Amino acid sequence: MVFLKLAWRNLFRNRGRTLVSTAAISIGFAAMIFYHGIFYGMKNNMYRTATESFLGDAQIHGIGYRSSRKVEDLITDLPALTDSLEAEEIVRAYSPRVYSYAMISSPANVSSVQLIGVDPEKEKKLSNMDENIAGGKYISGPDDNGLVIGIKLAEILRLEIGDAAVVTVSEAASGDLSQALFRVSGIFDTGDRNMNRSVALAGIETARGMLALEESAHEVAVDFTSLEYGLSDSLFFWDKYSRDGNKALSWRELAPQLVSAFQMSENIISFVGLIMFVLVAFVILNTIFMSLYERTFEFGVLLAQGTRPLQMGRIIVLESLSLAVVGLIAGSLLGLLVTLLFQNIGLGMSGEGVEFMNVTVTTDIYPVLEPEPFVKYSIGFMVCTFLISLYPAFHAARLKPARALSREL
Amino acid sequence: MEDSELILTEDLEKTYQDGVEVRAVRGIDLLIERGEFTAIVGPSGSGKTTFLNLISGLDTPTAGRVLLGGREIGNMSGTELSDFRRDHIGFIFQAYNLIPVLTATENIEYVMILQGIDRKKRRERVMELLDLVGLADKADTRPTMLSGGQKQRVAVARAMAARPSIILADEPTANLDSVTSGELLDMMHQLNRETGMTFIFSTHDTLVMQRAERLLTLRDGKITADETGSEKSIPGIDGKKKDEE
Repeated sequence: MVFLKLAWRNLFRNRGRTLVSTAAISIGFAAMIFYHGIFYGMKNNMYRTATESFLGDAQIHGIGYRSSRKVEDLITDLPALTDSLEAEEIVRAYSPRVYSYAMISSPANVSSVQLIGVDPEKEKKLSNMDENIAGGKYISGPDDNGLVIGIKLAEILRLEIGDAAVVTVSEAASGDLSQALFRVSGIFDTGDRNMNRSVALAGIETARGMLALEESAHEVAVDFTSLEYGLSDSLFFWDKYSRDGNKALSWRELAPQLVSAFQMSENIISFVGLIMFVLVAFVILNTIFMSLYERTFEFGVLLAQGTRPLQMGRIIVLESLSLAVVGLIAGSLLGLLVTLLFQNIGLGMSGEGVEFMNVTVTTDIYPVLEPEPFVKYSIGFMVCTFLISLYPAFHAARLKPARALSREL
Repeated sequence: MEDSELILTEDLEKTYQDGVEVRAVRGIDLLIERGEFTAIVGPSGSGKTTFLNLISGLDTPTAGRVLLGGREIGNMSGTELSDFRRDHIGFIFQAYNLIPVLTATENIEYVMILQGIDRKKRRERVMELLDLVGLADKADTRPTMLSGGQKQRVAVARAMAARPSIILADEPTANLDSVTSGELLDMMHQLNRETGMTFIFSTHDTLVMQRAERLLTLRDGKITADETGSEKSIPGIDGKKKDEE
């Protein structure tokens, strides 16, 4: 206890120096908290952008469909599945979709695309495709004969609203080619290059008709009432909807590259954090060595009185940790205030936004405030401080009393 | 070594190698008995402080040995030596050197905390010592609020806190006026008589020399005179005794 008292009171002996050190520590710590908040804000933003644009929080397919992409690999018993989804409390919206590879040709060009048949009313509740219409209008109903294509595809095919395009697909049962003439009713721009380049949307009944399908679908996209459900591996949903020939997958399994990107970013944050910790710990090291140098005689007196070498070291470690604690408290408050401030005003994404792993984030970023970084970084920082304080502590423990009393380090 | 013998040095040597070789202590053989009130005098650089450091275990000799209460301190580990100093030796320094962030009470009780004495007993002992040095009303005062004389009194109390057998005082009156020095020396002499604690001073102060019962003169790292009682001849301010002039 007396060592802690000595350590704590010594902090306030040279207030100017302690203030400068505390400021360096607290600014570094606050920057980490804020950076973490920004990263998770951006992550949430990307997650929403990815899931709300078309992916959904989860998808259900017939087993084998995702690897084969065959038109005949359909969801088993779609009506029963949709009835069940209707009754789920955690499901906010769902939308059945029909997929097929297709050839789309215009008078100017031809391109392979993915034709997706959607139920526009259900789709509107789940994805924001209807909000990404850059020209014309969205699909108006399940049996709408209009075609909504991506902005890049329109450019390649030199199609404009109202222009005709022929879509060729292969029928499900027979494999025979089926062709239909569509009018381009809308052009979308999701910010996702792949979608803009290779997706054409049609009414789900229209698509079923072309593919000679009954009331079925290749995919049911699901939106949960909370983001957290999509992150939970133990959610009942996955088992319940992975039966009878169907397979339910979360967005993390559907877009593993996004998860890897997040993981990579978290590793980068941890690395940056480590560098920050080491830099700040060196501020502490410098402060403690200055203090050690100034108080050499005093340490000599403590040694003369019978303070053991290890106890001398303990005084130094406690002094370093005390300085770190003061810096952490100030840094936590500063980090909290700055994060709260930007949580209210947001960080604006100017221009066309930022594209990351094929996801373009166009909305403002709101830093996330959660206890984790405060705890995680505090522990990391204290450990770092402890480790780095061992050097001056070792130095203090090895002080020779006679040399210290003659003010020689 | 007999019970009455407290410090025994045999052919004690200390040589520093700081660029040039400096032989600070050269083959001192000395016996100090329990209860002595001894002053070590000599000009600056004569080896007084080095000798005190050696007999207290603050420094290690280059050659020879020191026995304190029958134990050779050269054979002790760092921790053993720390514990030995804590339990057997009290120090008083020239510039008081109280810990500025601790109050008078906390400065005095520090060594007792190291000894593991419980708080109640510590506080009783502190009050007893503060009474003894006449500073009971300054118990919660930090050193910066005390005068030089008061600080040195606290330093005396601190040195006595662990009930050591020896108190080593390095120029304890150097920063005090003659009245305060006189009072402080009277107090220490009284403590010496009442408690039997051995006091060893390193000093230039004639007041200390006058009160000392034994006067050891060091010159160039050697004891050149060892006088007691009425035999003592007090050196002048140049460090020379009359018979040396």
